[in-house]
Amino acid sequence: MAEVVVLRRSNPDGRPLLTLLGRVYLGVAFVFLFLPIITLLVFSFQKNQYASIPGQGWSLRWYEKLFSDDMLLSALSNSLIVSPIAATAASIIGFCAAYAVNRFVFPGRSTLAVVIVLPILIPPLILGIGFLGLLSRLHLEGQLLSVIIAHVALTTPAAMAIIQLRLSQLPASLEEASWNLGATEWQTLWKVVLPCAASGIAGGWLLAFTFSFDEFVIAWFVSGFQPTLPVTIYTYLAASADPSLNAIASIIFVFSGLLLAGAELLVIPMVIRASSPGRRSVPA
Amino acid sequence: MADIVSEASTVPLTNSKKPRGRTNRLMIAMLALPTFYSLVFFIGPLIFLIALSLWKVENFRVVPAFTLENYISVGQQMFGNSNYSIAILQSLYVAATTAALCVALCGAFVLALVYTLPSRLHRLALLLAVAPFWTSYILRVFAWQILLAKRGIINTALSAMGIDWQLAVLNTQTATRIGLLHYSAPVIIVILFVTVKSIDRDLIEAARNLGATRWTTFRTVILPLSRVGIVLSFCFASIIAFGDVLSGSILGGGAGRSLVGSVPLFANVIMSDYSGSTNLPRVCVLAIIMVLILVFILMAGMKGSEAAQRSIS
Amino acid sequence: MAMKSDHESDATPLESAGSGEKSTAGSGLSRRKFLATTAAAAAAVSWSNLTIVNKAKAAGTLRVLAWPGYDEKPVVGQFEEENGVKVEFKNYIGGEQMMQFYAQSPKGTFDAIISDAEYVQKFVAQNAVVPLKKADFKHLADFHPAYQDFAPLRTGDAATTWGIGTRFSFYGISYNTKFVSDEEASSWSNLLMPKFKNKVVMFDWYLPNMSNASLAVFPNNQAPYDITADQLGKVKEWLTKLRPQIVSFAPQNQGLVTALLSEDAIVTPYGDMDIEMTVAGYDNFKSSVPKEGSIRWSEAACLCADSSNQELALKWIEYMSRPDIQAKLVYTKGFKARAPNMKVVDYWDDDQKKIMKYIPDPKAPGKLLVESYIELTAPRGLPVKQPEADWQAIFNAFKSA
Repeated sequence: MAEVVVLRRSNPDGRPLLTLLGRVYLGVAFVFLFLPIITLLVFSFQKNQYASIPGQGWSLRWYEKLFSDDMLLSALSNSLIVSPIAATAASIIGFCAAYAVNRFVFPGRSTLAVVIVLPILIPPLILGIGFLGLLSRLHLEGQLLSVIIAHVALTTPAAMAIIQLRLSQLPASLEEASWNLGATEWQTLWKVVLPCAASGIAGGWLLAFTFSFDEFVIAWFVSGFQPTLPVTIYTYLAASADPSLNAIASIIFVFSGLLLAGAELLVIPMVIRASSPGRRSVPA
Repeated sequence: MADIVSEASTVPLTNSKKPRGRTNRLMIAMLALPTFYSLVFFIGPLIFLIALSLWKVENFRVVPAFTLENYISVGQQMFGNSNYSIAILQSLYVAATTAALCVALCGAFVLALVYTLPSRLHRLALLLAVAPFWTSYILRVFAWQILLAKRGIINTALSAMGIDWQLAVLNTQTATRIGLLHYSAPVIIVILFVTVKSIDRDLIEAARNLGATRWTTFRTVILPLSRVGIVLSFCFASIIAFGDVLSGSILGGGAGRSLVGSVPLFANVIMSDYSGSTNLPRVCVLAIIMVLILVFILMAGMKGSEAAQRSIS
Repeated sequence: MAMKSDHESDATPLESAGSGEKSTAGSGLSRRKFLATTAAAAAAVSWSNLTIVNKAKAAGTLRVLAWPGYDEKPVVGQFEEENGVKVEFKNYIGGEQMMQFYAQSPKGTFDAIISDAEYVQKFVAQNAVVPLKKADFKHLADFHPAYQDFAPLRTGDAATTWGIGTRFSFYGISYNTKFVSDEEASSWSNLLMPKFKNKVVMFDWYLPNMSNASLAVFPNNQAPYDITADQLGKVKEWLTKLRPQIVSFAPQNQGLVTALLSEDAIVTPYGDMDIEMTVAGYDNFKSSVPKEGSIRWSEAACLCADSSNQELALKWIEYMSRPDIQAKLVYTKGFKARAPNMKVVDYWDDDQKKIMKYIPDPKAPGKLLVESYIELTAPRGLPVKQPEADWQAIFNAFKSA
């Protein structure tokens, strides 16, 4: 790999114009992606409650208000409980389903693939009422567990899609080689497939987490008296604009950004250095 | 060129699905959890939806029955009165154009990312691209509204820079597309990134060394090998776009203008029929229509990606 | 727990980017350990709170299904302190959401409901609420006469009522005074003027809009939703004429505010926007009640038939009728509205009285503006002679026109 990069670098044919064009495009795309986020950030520091253009005075009042707002803060903590658990369960189920669909031929294989995706196809409104009705009859309604159950159903398809994509890219020879070397199917799954699919699983988890962290229609119906953050945001918004919402969105954004940047800059190099003395491309 | 492709490309696992004389215990173990969960929590809501559509409302309460009344009522209004058909048409049009736009723009983004940035920056760039996904969608949509409004941020900035031209897309389906694009872009970028990244770099090098131009390499190596990812992304983006309510109502203004006309999206119609009358069974009929359309898109996508995969291997 | 390590490696966002696909696969011990610790810690925190499975209601807790606003500290705090109890609110947006949530929840989930007055009928039809004795509510005497004996809440017995009014307001015309004169905003028919083409933002719900349209065609009708098929046809015609004037349909306040502030729209047949804007520091918005009359929405506190805590629920309903509490309720950060208890003025300063229109009406001596508005407006109701779905279908057609 490294060789290839060097080779490309020294390649006199590397057309700088095309590279420049690509980078300009990336820049424009990033502006598009970040425009609304920056807007939220800026408005969270605006003095005025209803601002349509920034620059009418700055203030920290929305942040102060946010930190005295028990409802938003407890909703945030509910979300921080629900989403990681839901995403983890969704990734596990998603992995099992993706592996089975990818690896085996069995009756109902394509049915399973469709059935798992069904929850995201049903309008959330109807699904929310359906889940509330179902969970009420199972005496599982009105608690954070209900939101977790519903969100697992809702986010599994996304997790599964990403994991399956990753699995489908792994060469079949990888597993075959492992079997030929005497490993059982289980060992192969554990020591070969799982590590190789790790990036896909992590991606699937993140996607599931994000969907869950942002879902409010179904969560509204099943969460009872313990609303998650987006549910509270949604009920706040229905009434009037409250820039505290911009403040909490900004905090979450900056916080997750810092977390990711920290992981990127500190943890990964550390872990890699500590765990692998040399570069290994296939796990032992 | 084709030889190089088939020779060096990774062979997907689906090719070796034949049982190898080992026990099926692994398969059963892997299937148990998804099957159990599907049966209880995926099929459950679906059965509820179908059952409910056959029930009726008495004293503002849904009571079990077996009536096709709701189907008949919706059927009658397909082309008259509520005119559901035109809303479906609007949704299909907006979803298809959004998905196409999304795949094209995100595809270009991923190509630019992978082939013009040094590889040590790939990860960071991807993280940045996914980052917007972490803020509440509903708040982002409202931010777009403030950005795109007539006297909003973008237009104010334009006139401050002395530019005469004003952006007038808010309350049209163009604004709906912008919201949807922003919503689905991170997901599509990830899918396409994984796809493009998995294309063996040696393969591209080989093509280039054999004298292929960049365009030829793209057309004959990258594009064919990305087919699965492209089909999957298109399918995913259209499902998101068809089912979404927020962009259409907040950015599209509830009944935004497009080539189809100033017509609400089907998802928005379902929403207002729901809030406009205590008649859940009838709303369920509309929801079933929506599910059927989405399942159709999904099946087409799956067929398409299988065909694409076959064509690679 | 065979999937344990899978779960652990999930718990990190490190690998999201997946560019180090191959190298990250070589996961070493230290990382496993790190991740396992993190995951265990996270799990311990969440499970120790037991919040995931906690749905049991503590003794002395009151549960209320309500629009936003009632749950704000200044409104409910005093009740919790005075009685040493906790009130838990389920906030809903929209009557249908309320109905579905109530229908799908187990019996006895709620002790009290704040419902739109016209939806109270739906609860009555399901035997979900019980009549309240008017004599139990001493503050009722301070209510505006229209709310002492409020038509949508009548039980047939003059001594009882289905609910106690808590707040209300008007669907008049809110307008930007930079572009719209008071005269122009004084009649529904003026909305058809060419200058309003593509300049009207409408709240996306058929009921208030069609009832107002009904008033535009048949002025000063106290029951604008009780019309014949012919009359409904006329209403539809009027709406069709209004359609080109509409720039967008907003699903909630926020959308109306943005449209008005950015001047994408200069009027809205929604009312009350002036209060929000004035409080926020804008002085160029006003609201009118057109001369043909308009619709008025009202909320009422009702007692649930299945409540196991009726005594406390009654106490809370009585608390919500107090002038000091209504004075705060109608001035929450959520909604700004009007209070049925006319004594609220004792708890407001002059600015608040002015914004809320509890000031003398220059045209009617001895009356407050808000009283004149109540007389000019009709309570929002459900369609009487046609099913709701028919009205909804007309509204759908109107939107798609």
